[in-house]
Amino acid sequence: MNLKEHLLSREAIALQVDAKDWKAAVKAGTDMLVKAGTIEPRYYEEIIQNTQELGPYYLLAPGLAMPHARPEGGVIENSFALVTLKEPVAFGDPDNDPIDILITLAARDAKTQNEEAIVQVVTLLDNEETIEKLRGAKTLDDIKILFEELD
Amino acid sequence: MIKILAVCGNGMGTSLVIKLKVKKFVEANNIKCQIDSCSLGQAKGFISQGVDIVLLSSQLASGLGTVPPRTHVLALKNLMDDKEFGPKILDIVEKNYPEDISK
Repeated sequence: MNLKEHLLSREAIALQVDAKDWKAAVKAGTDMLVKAGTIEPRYYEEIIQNTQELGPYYLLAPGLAMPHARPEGGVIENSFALVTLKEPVAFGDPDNDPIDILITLAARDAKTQNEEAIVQVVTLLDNEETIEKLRGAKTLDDIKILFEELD
Repeated sequence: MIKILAVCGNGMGTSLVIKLKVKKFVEANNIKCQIDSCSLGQAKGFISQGVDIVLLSSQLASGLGTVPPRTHVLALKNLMDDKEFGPKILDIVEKNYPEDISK
């Protein structure tokens, strides 16, 4: 489950998205995965419901979110989606708002999620320069060039 | 050896992010430690067995309840920034487990 290859091959990348609020931002990511057939539509509902109950539990750092629910929340296949927003949106966490980069995570089981998926998300986002380039990317080619530089 | 626990809502998301970041930090600083991760619901069980440092998102901190005097709770705003938790971990290790830092 290679994050960068996966994003490119599945076309699970949406850049400079117009999202009116946090729900729309989350949906931009899950919609791509529903279309790719890797999650059921209810995975989105799970994330929204969990967020309303627990708060935005998937914010990693200022500007960065990793929306996900549990594997039994409707994951068909391990997958990721990358969304960047034209205008950042608030998730209701003053420490990290506003958010403009989201990596949606869907893992079929806890082991995959723990040992592979999250490691790759953290590795990708563990670099200020990479984050700035993701933020500035306008086209799929910008992302391809960035990922090639990283490999 | 110092025991560190990363906690999040379901034990599968941000606690793993914290665990990875802490692991990287302790390795870079030559600190010997054991790092586990779990859900908020499982945290009490872990803590009762003896945990020195609990790290979790500041949003979840109130859900942890009371902890024994041995346990330091670090409520984090930014989970990806070792400048936020690093100096605190280092300080706790230096005071309580100086032998676990190899020079």
